[in-house]
Amino acid sequence: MDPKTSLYVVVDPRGVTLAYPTEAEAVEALDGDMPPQTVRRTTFGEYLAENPRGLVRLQSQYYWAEDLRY
Amino acid sequence: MNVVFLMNDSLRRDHVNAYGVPPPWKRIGREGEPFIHTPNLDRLAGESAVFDRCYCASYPTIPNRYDLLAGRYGFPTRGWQPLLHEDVILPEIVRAHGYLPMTIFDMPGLNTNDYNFNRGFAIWRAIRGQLGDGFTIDTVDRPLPAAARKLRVIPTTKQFLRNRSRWQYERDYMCGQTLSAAMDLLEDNWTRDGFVLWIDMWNPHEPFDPPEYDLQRYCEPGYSGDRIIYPQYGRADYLSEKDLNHIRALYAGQVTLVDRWVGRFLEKLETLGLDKNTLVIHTTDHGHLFGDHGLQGKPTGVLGMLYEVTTRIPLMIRHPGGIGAGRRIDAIVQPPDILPTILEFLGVPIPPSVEGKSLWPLIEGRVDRIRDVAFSGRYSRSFGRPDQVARMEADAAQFDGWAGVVRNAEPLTVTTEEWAFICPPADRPRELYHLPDDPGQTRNLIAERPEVAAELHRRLIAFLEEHGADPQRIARYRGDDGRVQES
Repeated sequence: MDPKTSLYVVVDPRGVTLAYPTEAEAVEALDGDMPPQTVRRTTFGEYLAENPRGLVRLQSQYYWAEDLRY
Repeated sequence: MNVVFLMNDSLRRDHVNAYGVPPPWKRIGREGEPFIHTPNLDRLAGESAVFDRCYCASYPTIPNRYDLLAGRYGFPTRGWQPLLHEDVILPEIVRAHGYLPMTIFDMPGLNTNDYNFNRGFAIWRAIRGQLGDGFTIDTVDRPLPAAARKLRVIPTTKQFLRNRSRWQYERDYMCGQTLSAAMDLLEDNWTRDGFVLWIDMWNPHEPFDPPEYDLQRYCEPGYSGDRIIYPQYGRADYLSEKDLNHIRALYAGQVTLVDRWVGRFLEKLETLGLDKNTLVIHTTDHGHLFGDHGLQGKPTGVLGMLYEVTTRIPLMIRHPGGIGAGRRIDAIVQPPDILPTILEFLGVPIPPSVEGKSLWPLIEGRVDRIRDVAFSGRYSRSFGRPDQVARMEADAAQFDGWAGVVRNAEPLTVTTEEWAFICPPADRPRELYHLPDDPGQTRNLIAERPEVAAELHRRLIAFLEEHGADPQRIARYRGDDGRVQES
């Protein structure tokens, strides 16, 4: 994945970070049992640097960020 | 003589008691209770020749059906795609020799969008309403049973919920509908000698949505969380331990539901006296990951490693005269072997197009091996037939969740009695496992046993070349496409 690709990040109630390629998908990922938060925008490069095992959902599949660095 | 073929899609081998596989996990709050309840499949196994080392070839659903119907290895050259006009397939072969081929199925991808897997069957019946099948339409959006971030393909799941809203009793569940229709067909044909009935059930494939009484056998007492009937694929970290435990319980409940209906079908066969002249074959196409190797579902792309949980599948064959009954066969066999086995049983010549080998020499105990290696894999959408890539992606995503990063070729697996070698494209790490010592595939020996990996890699490349794989695709696995393998 291109390091400049935009990602939209949410954090689930267990503290797991999940990133989505569109804001709409990230908003959909929020639900009632999640703490109040805003969807954070970042780039793939920054997200990978922060946490290589942060999750990224692409095409109905969750990857670790490090899976997508190729 | 007749043949009944029973397909239960996505049935893990460790979820059929008869295989005697150690439970892959503990069930929270169910310690000390049986891991899985499959009395009917267990009984069938006792009356059958049971294959302990059957490995899927082409993966997943649609590619597997090609292997079964054509008796060939599709994955070197084919992906998720329709039958081709020139394909020589089971129903057309047996019909030309006076047999009546019939099929009942609920997997919508088999005959929608020109896929034509019902081709050649004299009688075919599609049971409507499975997963995303556009069968029921109304304006009511049913509430999702779990957080959207945990469910995959939301529009498809919503369509399933619409279809499912019409179910009231157990017979309304998909395997109930499909096997009820199959039992009706048996009643219609109970005096007939010379039919081949192909029953293709998608259960226990997701959505995992069994009756509550089947779920209660396996789920954590008092659980009140998400009901994740169609979990996202890939890295399983998005699921809590309780989520995962409940998904596993949903699947187990679905397996027990399937078992009960298969039992009812087999009882009907017996009631009608058809067990005396009917060969029964029961199998699946692949397994399904539930947190095994940290993965969920049938991930693809860089996460598409085909481990034993996915590749090693149930297969049992019950001869009406009892040939091979109770025999456990540990020879390596694969789905392309099933067509020639059926044809030999019926006394029909095996066409030269068939690559599989009849299993009768194994069942009768005349030989103890028919091959020394199994090849399992899927066709990458990145190579060949670019005109079909978008169509394949769309169909596969709709019907089997076969989606991922398209630029990657998919890992292939080579299995012997001793080793499993997982070969992704050459820029990705390879894996090698010693199965007798490490059946769970937790210790990658690729660095310790490079000579074994090299030999299995050589066999894989030769297999792909012999089966006409695209040279560009082979180069990705061979490692001479200019990319450097990651250490």
